[in-house]
This record gives sequence, structure tokens and C-alpha cells, in this order.
Amino acid sequence: MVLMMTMAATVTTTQLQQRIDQAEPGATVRLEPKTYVGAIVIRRSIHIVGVPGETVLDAAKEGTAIRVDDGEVTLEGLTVVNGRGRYGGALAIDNEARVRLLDCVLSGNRAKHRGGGAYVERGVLRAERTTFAGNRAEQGGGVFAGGDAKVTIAMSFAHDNRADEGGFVAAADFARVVLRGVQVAKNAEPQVHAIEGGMTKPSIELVTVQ
Amino acid sequence: MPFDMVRVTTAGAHGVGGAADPDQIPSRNTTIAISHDIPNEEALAFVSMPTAETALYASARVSNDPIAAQLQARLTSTGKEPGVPTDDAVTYKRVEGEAFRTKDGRTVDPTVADVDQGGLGDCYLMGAMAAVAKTDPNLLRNMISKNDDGTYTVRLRVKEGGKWKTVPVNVTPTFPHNSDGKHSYADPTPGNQNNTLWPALIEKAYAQYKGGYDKIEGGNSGRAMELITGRSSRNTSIGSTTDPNDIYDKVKAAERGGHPMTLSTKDGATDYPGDHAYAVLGAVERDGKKYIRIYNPWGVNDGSRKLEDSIYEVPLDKLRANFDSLKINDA
Repeated sequence: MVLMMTMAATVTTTQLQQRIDQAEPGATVRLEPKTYVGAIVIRRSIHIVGVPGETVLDAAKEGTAIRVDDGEVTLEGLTVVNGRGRYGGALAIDNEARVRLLDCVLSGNRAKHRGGGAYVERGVLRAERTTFAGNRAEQGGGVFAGGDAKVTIAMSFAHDNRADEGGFVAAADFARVVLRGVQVAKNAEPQVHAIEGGMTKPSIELVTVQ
Repeated sequence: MPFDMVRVTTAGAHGVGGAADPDQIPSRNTTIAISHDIPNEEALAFVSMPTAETALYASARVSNDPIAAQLQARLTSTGKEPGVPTDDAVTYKRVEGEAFRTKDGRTVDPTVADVDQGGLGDCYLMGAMAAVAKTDPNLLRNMISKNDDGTYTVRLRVKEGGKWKTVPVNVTPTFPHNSDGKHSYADPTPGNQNNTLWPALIEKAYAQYKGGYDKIEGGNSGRAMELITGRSSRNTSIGSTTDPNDIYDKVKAAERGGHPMTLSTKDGATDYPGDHAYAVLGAVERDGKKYIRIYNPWGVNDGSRKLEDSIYEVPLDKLRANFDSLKINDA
């Protein structure tokens, strides 16, 4: 009985991808409390809303779970697991796309090189009330910001992320990262790391909220 | 090392107090008899200078030759050679040559075949160079100029705070070599030509910009094309639901528009080397079947491969299983 319920609660991302591709710009796509198995690519402004803790996007270790190539995108109430990418395990942002994570969990994702949780080199990431946990990469186990990316993480949690440089966050080039009221614990040291270059100056600002 | 002064001793032909002439730089095998105390920071910087220049500078300094100041300025501008990955045992060797081929006094366009990646994991950069060589060789020629002192200025284009900037990097034509005498990274003399330094110069300039060769392993080929052209790149992710015909159409349209392009393989690609970036040469249709033609920046791999072994025609039915992104640079 339990097994049947579990089966019914798991679907592939094929139909979700179709809904995303066919959505009007700025539309809201509401997801049921299910596990969606597979990866998705977003190329338009959209608001995807799940049920916190119950809507799971499981990339099944077959690629970056969510790639955002365009638009202003809000991802709300999603748990993203088992993403595997070269750059960006759970989330990869490019093409000046702007992504907001709200009440999300990025957990157990891996990038071979950078950004086990999220990778952004050309774009903007803002994460609020989001948990980065158990993600891994060479640089930026939780988040990697390069190029001239802008990243703000606020009122969020980061724990048990692993990387050679920046267990939680690594920033390179001219990326700007602001961590505002983020609880950071048990990530590989250095938990937050600005990778200084010969002529580059990334910045990471830590803002404590009382 | 905790000292303020260091004694530098070399021995050979010019002798103490010998006149120094920048146009008569002694060969690598020439040694000079000098024994002199010089400040520590200068001595440490010697490590990064080619042997001949080190000797020349030391000679000039001992004899109070005015050329010493000029050489010191050069030393300061080039700084220490960029670091390398910790596992690499390399020595820097000067390669005499030119950035680009010439014929009848005119510079000849660089080509895709000039790109031979070598042993550094910067396929994204080398693939980008090949992509620009395919579509806009003149841009590469304008990117590099040779200075009177034998160094080169490589102009990188970077986006900072939303604005494009030109970053000139002064590069000495000295490149990492292995103990067997072969180049370690981008081949400065592909096909044994000594007038095709441009890929190695751009690679070294980027290494200096980022703080070392070890800092440029792994990267984004879209950003690398921007570094050369100063124009934005757009990424198209290739997912399980991507229609390969859409990718073909994008490549075809970009090819007509003269856009540099790269294609990247997944980590687990089985039909082509994985986690690798390739320059896109174009879209072709033959006998009703469509292909995307790509160039592997491994190139001729120091003569161990034929050029045609680095050019693949990817049938569309192998696209999704092997590749995860197409990057197109603005034209």
C-alpha cells in the first residue's frame, strides 16, 4: 500500500518541462507535492512554486538539475537533490538571467568543478530562507560566483557543504557576494573564500543580522 | 628566504663591467662572470627571467650601464612567471619567434589548426581561441602586439560591473616546458613553426590575469570567447528534451552570421572526450543527414595526431547523449 503511494508520487520532468516551455512569460507554474525525476532547462521568465519539503526535483545524478538560460525566474518551495554537473550541480545560471530562490533546499548535489549547489558567472542569484546542505565541488561547494555575477544569500542556512576552496561559497573574478544573516556551519574550511587572481578582485560581504 | 641581500654569481663571456646592449642579448648558453650583491627582491625576480636576460641585467647593473634601468623596468612589468599546477614540474624557456605568420611582409590570418592545447586543462580557452580563429582571425591579430623590448601586449576583454574593459597584459615569450624539452601547455610552435606564438601568448596572458596557470584550469568557453572578442556569449543548454534540430538550426544561423561558437561535452560522454570544449566549425548536411562539425583543441598534439583526427562531424542523434551546452558569441 505504501509502495503504491510512493510510486504515484514520482513522475518524470518531461511534462514539467513542457509546461515550462509553453508558459506565458511571467506565468506561475504550481507543482504538486511529488518527486519530479529528471532535469529542467528554463529559458523564460517564470515563477515555479512547490510545496516546501514535499515538492522534490531529483536530477537522478544525470545532469545539472535546473539550468536557467534566460529570464527572471523565481523558484519557490523546491527541494533539489542529486544534481550532477560540471558547473552547477543543482542550479546553473547564465546569459544574464536573474534567479530568486525562496524557501528552497539544495541538498546532495555535486559539481565536478564549481558550484555544487549553484553556479553563476553571468547573472544574478538571490536566495532567501534557503538551505544549502551536503553539496560538493572543487570550488564553491554550496555556491560558486564568477565573472561579474551578483549573489545575495539572506536569512538562509549552509551546512556540510564541501569543496577544496570555499566549502560554502567561492567567489572569483569580479563577482560580488553578500551573505546577510546566513547561518554557516560545518562546511569545509575555508567556508567562505574569495579567490584572488593576478588582476581580479572578487568580493564577499558578510552582514550579521541581530 | 629570510635575507635582505643575496649574492648572484654567474660566469662567462661578457665579464664584469662589460657593456650591455639590448640588441645583443647573449644566447641561452652564454654565461657571464659576475659576482655582486643585489637586493633580495631583485634576486628573487631573477628566477622568473630567461637566463640570457638575467645575465644581461646583472652585467649591466654591475657596470652601471643605463640599460640596467630599462631591464629592471621590464622585469617589474613582467613580474614573476605565473605559477603552475602543483603536480607539474616545468621550467620556463624563451621561444624566439613571432605571434603570427607573415608572407610578403603582411601578417597571415591565424587558423584553427594553430591551436594545440597541450597538458593544461583549459580546453574552454583553447576551444574559444579556435572558434574565434574560424570566424574572426583579424580580431586575434589586433589582440596582440609586439613591443620593442621583445615582449608582447595581449589585450584581454573582461566584463566588470556590467561594463566591458580592455585589460592589457604584458607577456614575455617564455613558456613552461617539461624536463624532456617539450612545451607543457599550449604549443607555442605548433607544427614546429616559430611564428605562431599567439595561442601560447593568450594562454599566458590569461594565466597572469587570473594569477597562475593553475588558476585557469577549468572554465566557461562562453566567457573565454568574450575574453577575446569583448562581445557577450549566450549559452544554450542541451537537455534531454532539447530538439537536436533546434541546435542544428542555431548553429547554421550563427555560422551564417559569423559568430564564434563552442560545444561542450558532458562529463559522462561516451562517443567523444567528455568534460571537454570544442570549437564549432559549422553545420553540414550530407545525404539527407545533418551533422555539426567541431574541432578538438588537442589539435595535432605536438605532431602525434593528424589534424583530421581532431575534426569530428557529430550526427544529430549523438548530440543529446554527449553534449550539454552550445555557446554562441555575438558577432
